[in-house]
Amino acid sequence: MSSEDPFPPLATLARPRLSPFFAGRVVARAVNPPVPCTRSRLMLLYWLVLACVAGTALAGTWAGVGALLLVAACSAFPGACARFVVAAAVGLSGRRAERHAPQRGCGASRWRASADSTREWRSGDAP
Amino acid sequence: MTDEELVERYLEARDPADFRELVERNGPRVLRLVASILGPFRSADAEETTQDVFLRAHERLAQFRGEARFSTWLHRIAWSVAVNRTRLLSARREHVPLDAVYDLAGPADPRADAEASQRVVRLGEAVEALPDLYRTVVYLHYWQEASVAEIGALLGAPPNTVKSYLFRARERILRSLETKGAGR
Repeated sequence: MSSEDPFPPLATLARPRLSPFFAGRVVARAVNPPVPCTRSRLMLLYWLVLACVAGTALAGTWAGVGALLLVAACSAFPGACARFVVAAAVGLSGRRAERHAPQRGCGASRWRASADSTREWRSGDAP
Repeated sequence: MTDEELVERYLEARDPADFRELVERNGPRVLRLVASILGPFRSADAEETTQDVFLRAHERLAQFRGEARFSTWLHRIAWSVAVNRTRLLSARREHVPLDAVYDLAGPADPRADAEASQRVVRLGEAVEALPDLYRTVVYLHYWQEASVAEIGALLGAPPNTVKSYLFRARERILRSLETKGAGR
């Protein structure tokens, strides 16, 4: 077997070509380079100091530790946290609406009917 | 006007047309070198890498002192950028997608059967296992069909050195193919 034998198939593989717009694209990128996103060192220092001060202040009290744990839990489980907040807000608004519902006079019976149907829907008894 | 004169004029006047001329003149050669360093199985990244080469060259153009030819200087940048890209791609993907040869060699040539495709895959594996320099020389010669003199110009090496690289690379590939053939 000659040493040239296995190589001819390589020549059959496709060779890349430059697109007709290549030179224009390179020149445009070279002449107008994208502005890099830079953060000033001063701002980084500011956030670092703020985080240290806030952390120290919060860690000094049990309420602060609780707040830190809450924030950590929210960052760790953002989906569950968002669902909990939405559910709590819906429950709270429902209770408040019931408290402010008209007890007598025109519209009271219609309001009660609407509140009943909402309660049924929430408990899964909706038609 | 030579490349070196164009560079000088561009650095003085900063006319984008001059840089465009440099890209148009050198683009195909740089692509050939970059594609051979990346190999046929990663050739989809060749144009983007070639673009990176010219952008890097543009950044460093003021450092070009004309001691070597502009093309030699540019090819050195191309080598460094493409080798880095190869390492990055290898780190991201554990293996080169050699199965791509079925798409490249198979449907384009109706006579190529499964056995021929297998041979290309085995050959691809053997070439990909070579060190950067040997692999590039093999791809330049057998894939890009560049002559020894052209390879020498692209790599900045004398023709005899290129011949010796080719000889050693061929020896390694044949040994690897024989080992694999015996193992089957």
